Amino acid sequence: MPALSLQQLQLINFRSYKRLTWDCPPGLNIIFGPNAAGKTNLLEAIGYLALARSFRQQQDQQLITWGANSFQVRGLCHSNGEKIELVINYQQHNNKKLTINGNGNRLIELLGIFPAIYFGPDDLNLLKGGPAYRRHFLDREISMGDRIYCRNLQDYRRILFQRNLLLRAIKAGRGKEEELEPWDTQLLVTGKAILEKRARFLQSLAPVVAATYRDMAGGEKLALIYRPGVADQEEWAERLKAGREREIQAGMTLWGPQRDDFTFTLDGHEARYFASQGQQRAVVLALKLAEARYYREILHVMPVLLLDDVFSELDEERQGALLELLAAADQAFLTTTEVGLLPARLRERSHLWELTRGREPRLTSGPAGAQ
Amino acid sequence: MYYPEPLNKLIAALGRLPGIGPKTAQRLAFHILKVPASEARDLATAIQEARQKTIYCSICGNFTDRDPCRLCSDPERDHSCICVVEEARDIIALEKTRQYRGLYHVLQGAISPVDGIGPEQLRIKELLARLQGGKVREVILATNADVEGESTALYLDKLLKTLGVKVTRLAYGLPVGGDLEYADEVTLARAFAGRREIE
Ligand SMILES: Nc1ncnc2c1ncn2[C@@H]1O[C@H](COP(=O)(O)OP(=O)(O)OP(=O)(O)O)[C@@H](O)[C@H]1O
Ligand SMILES: [Mg+2]
Ligand SMILES: [Zn+2]
Repeated sequence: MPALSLQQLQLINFRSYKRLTWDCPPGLNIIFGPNAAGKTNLLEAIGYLALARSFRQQQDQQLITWGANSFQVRGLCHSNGEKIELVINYQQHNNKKLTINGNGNRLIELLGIFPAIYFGPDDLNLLKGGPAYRRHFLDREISMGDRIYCRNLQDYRRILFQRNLLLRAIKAGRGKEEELEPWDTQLLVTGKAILEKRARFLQSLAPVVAATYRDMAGGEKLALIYRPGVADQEEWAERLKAGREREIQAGMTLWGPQRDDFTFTLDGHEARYFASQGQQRAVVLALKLAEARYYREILHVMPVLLLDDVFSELDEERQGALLELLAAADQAFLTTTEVGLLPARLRERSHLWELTRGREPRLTSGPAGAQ
Repeated sequence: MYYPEPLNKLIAALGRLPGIGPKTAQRLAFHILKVPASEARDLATAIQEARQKTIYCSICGNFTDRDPCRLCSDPERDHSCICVVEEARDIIALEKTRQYRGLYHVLQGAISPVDGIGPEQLRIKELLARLQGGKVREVILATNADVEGESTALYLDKLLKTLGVKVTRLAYGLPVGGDLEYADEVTLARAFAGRREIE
C-alpha cells in the first residue's frame, strides 16, 4: 500500500494563521493547546489539501483570515516515495486555483492525491443532524475516489438550478411545459448515475460498519440503510410526468438524489431516536473507522487521519479500536486540550506539539525510542 | 481620481469591456495617450469600421462583411451538412481542425433559464427554414459540453428528428466541461470523427 504523509504545511491568511510554516513528521502527531489556540483550524487546513473544501461544511470565504482577501494552503506531500507539492489559492469572490508541482491544474486533478479523513465532535451530526450532513459525507467520500462522480455532482447541481428556475418561470407564465423535456432527460441520466454510485458505496460500506461496530461495542446489531430520494429508479421518469403540476406549483424538483438520506438502526430501532448517547458515539465512530477501512480495502490507500478532540469522549474499549486504526496509519494528527487525557501508550508513540494561538506548533517531545 | 474629463471617459469606456478591470483600463488609457496620434486614430477607426461593416450573415448568423458570408456562398463546401454552434467564435475553433467542409448555423446562445433564454430566443426558426428545401441531409449539433449546451442539443435533436433529417452530436471525449473555444484542435478533430446519433 502506498505510504502517504504530509511533510510540510504552509499557510497564508488561513483562519487564525496569518503565516505558518510547519514541518511535520510521519507517524503520530499530537497537537495540544488551550481552547481557541487554532487546533481545529490546523486540521482543517490539512484536510483542505484533500478536496479543496473545508470539512466543516463552510464556504471558502469564511476560511480567509479576517481583514485579508485571499488565502493559500501549500502542502508538501510524500506519496509512495514521490514528492508532490500542492498549492491551493483562494481569492475572494474569485475562483480557486490549484497547482501541482508548479503546474496549473483543474481542481478535479486534486482528487485522490492526498486523501484524508477527519473525525471531530461535530460528526455526531452524521447521526443526529439533518440529511444534508449525510449527503455531504457521501459526496466527500465518493468523490475522493471517483472523478466522474465529482463531475456528475457538479452537473447535477447545475441541472437542478436551471430546472427549478424553469419550473418557476412556467408557473409565472414565462415558459412552456415542453421546455422541461431536455432538463428532465439530463436530470434522469445524471441523477441515476449519482444514485447508483451512492447505492454501491453504501452497499460496500454497510457490512464494514456493522462488523466494526460488533467488534468494538458488541451487543446490538448495527445496520446502515440507504433511503434514496427516488424510491424506484425505473419509475422516476413516470413520476416526473405524473407530478409535473405539483413540481410547477412548488417551483422545485421534488424527486432525486438531492433528497437522499441514510439511517442507522440498532437491532432494528432507528438509532437517532432510540440509541443512548454512548451508543450514538459508538455508531459514529464505527462509521468513521469503517470509512478508513473502506479506503484501505477498496481504494487501496491509507488516508491521513485527522482526529479532532475525540479521545476524551470515548471509553477504554472504543479508545482501543481507535488506537488500532492509528497503528495502521502512516500519518495522523490528533488534537487535545489536555495531553494527560490521552492514553499513555498513545503519547509514548507520538510527537507532542504545543500550540499557542497564532504561532507554529512547538515540538515538546518525540516518540520514545526515537531521536 | 482627478483626471481630465476626456481621460476619465476613456478609462470608463475601456473598463466596461469584458475581462478588463479598473487597473487594466487605466493602463490601456495611458498607453493610448502615449502612442503617436496616428496610432490612436487607427484604433478608433478600426473600432468604428468593424462595427459598421461587420454584420451577421442572414443565413448562418456568422460575422461577415458581405451577405451571405464567404462560407455560405462557397460552392466548394458541402451544402448538405450543417453544423450547429452556440456562438460565431465557435466556427473559428472548428474551422481550425480542417476536418469539416460543410456549412454552419449560429444559434447565438444556448438554452439557459437563469439567463432567460429559451428556444424562442435562439436562431432556431432560421435553422428550420434552412432545412425546408430538402437539400440538407445531416445536422451536426456542436453546442458546448456543459448542461446548457446539452439541453440545447437534446431540444434540437427531438425537433429535427421529426423532420426526417439525420442528427448527430459532436462526440466529446472526456467532457471538457465548457466552451468549444477552449477545446484544443486535436480534441475537436477527434470529436468530429466520432460524432454519433443521440439515443
Ligand atoms: N476567518 C478567521 N480569521 C481569523 N480568525 C479566525 C477565523 N476563523 C476562526 N478564527 C479564530 O480561530 C479560533 C478558533 O480556532 P480553533 O477552532 O482552531 O480552536 P481550537 O484550538 O480547536 O479550540 P477548541 O479547543 O475550543 O476546539 C477562534 O477563536 C477564532 O477567533
Ligand atoms: Mg477545536
Ligand atoms: Zn453564412
